[in-house]
Amino acid sequence: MTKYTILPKDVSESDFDAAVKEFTAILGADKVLTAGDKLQPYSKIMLAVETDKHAASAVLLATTVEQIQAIVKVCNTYKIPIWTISTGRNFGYGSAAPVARGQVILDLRLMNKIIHVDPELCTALVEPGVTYQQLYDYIEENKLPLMLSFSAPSAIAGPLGNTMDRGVGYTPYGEHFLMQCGMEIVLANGEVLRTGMGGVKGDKAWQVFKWGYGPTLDGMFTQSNYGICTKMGFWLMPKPPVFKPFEIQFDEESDISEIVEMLRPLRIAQIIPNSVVIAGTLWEAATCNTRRSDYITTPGATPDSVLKQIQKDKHLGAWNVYAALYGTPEQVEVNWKIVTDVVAKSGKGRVITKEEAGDTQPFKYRSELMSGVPNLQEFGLYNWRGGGGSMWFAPVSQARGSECEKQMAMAKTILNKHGLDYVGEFIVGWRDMHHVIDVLFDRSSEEETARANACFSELLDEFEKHGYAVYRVNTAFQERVAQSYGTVKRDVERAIKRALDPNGILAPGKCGINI
Amino acid sequence: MTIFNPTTALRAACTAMLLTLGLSASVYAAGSAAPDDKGRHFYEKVCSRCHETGIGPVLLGRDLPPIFFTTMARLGRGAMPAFRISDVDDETLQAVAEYLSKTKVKP
Ligand SMILES: Cc1cc2nc3c(=O)[nH]c(=O)nc-3n(C[C@H](O)[C@H](O)[C@H](O)COP(=O)(O)OP(=O)(O)OC[C@H]3O[C@@H](n4cnc5c(N)ncnc54)[C@H](O)[C@@H]3O)c2cc1C
Repeated sequence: MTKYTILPKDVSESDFDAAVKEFTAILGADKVLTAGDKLQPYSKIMLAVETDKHAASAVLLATTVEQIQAIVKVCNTYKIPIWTISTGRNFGYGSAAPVARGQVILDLRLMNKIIHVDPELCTALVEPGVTYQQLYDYIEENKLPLMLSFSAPSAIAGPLGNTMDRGVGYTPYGEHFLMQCGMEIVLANGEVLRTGMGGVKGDKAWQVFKWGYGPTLDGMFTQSNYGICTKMGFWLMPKPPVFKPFEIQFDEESDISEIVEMLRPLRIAQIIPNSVVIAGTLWEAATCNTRRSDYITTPGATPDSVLKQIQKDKHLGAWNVYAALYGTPEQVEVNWKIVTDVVAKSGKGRVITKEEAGDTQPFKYRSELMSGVPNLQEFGLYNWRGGGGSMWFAPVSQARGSECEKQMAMAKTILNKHGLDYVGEFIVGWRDMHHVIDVLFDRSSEEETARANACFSELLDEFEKHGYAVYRVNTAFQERVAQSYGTVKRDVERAIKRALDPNGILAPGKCGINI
Repeated sequence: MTIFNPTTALRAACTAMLLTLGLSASVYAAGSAAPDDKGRHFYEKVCSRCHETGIGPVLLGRDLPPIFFTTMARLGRGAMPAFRISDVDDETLQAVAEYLSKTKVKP
């Protein structure tokens, strides 16, 4: 019997005692959490596995880089694994909980300084705990002519954590890692690395020139366990004089191929400059507060006839495209004509403008996401089925109609086979699609949770057979997904891990990377 | 707008959660009475995003004790995220809970 709820793997209680004592000396007693009630909020996963599998042994609340340097030294001494979070809102990917039971969470939420926002160069440098809402308030209060791009849980999530997991947003700056510029990283040995121009004494270009000199290292610190990011720079979009959001509704599920073919040239040529979304009926229904129980009470997959009824009742398309134009009135006018001409020529699709949609959902929150105004409307997804289970299945595909159609059909068949619904959208990158599907299930039902787990495994397996893999995955399936990317890549990752973190103290198992 | 009925069962669940956590109502009740402003501010900035948009249940004017709100916030319930001590410290959360427990139903 130990006085801790859990111990890290292969760490004795006396060693953990000694480590906790040292952590306390570094941080103060109120910043080292080991009591069950304090750890509880960190254990809320939405995944289809037991909560226990991802329970932390302790939480460390660091507030300075020096503290983090001291913490990794202690971790090396006692071989304590730590799992870093920034704002810790990685919902559907594992939330704040570690990849493996017993890891100590290093919570950087209290490091929340906006170090600078440069309204001329349109750059920002932030600490890990800064939320998008905080940045938004800062921009508003200081009347800066800048626009944020963020993930849908914008009001509570943050740019550093989201970018470290290579998340996406909905403005022209929606591919967040593409807009990242300069990182400060605490390495496993306690040294502090600045990427890009950041190592040059007296440099002022850290947030404006990404590549620096020699190998560009930033990418290898994302979706990995090679370092702890303590500062991140990124680019902000100048607020355009005109922002024109619009929706195009399509009535049939089979329209997806044509939609993609129609949009791709507009997107690649930057006529439509933002990460366009093509959302399916159920995504739309859920985000305008429709619940499955409003329509059907029998368990299992929702029949197509019900989807059609919802479409009709809620005035939704089978596919709902959201995009926006940004620029001067003249630019927007020209591009608007190009877009509407293309839609008219296709003979399909109803264009809906902001003036027509008014304040209705989901148009309102989509429009806010595309113009950098935080909200949490997308949490409506969780009310569709209820029960708090969610795992994102997010395979990548080419932005090609036939590919999207194939992926959609495969996903829907597998989900329905397991009694679950296809609640999906395509987020158009520049040439790719992030096909994002929320595998929603009732986590309070053991039986449904088991089905969701089997479903997720089958989705990964079947998609892999067709040459598809996901861009990011929850902590329960990270080892599985690493296998899809091949052994050579894994060997290289392991070699880097061994070189940088020989004791394997940083998030062992993250993205399948171990020493 | 969703109307949330905190049934006896839910109240019982809340108590059960408190017991699991090893907390007692008095621990929280002993917290210093924070000004309503702080509680209201946090509610409006964060909680209201879901609880006044039909996503989460209505919280205003429910005549529930502060301990109910603090527990729900720390644990999360169903799809509701859990709020960690680094998201909202005990004092602010207590202020939110006290603010909510005193509110009237919105007209
Ligand atoms: C309704 C809904 C909609 C969503 N929509 C989107 C969306 O549009 N786009 C999107 O991308 N996601 C989306 N998500 C998923 C997720 O909630 C967001 O990506 C969120 O931004 C991630 O949480 P965070 O920003 O708090 O990052 P964190 O949880 O802090 O970090 C994410 C991960 O990055 C790593 N990490 C964090 N900090 C560090 C660090 N300092 N050093 C090294 N590694 C670190 C950790 O592994 C961590 O688990 C959605 C979730 C929900 C529930």
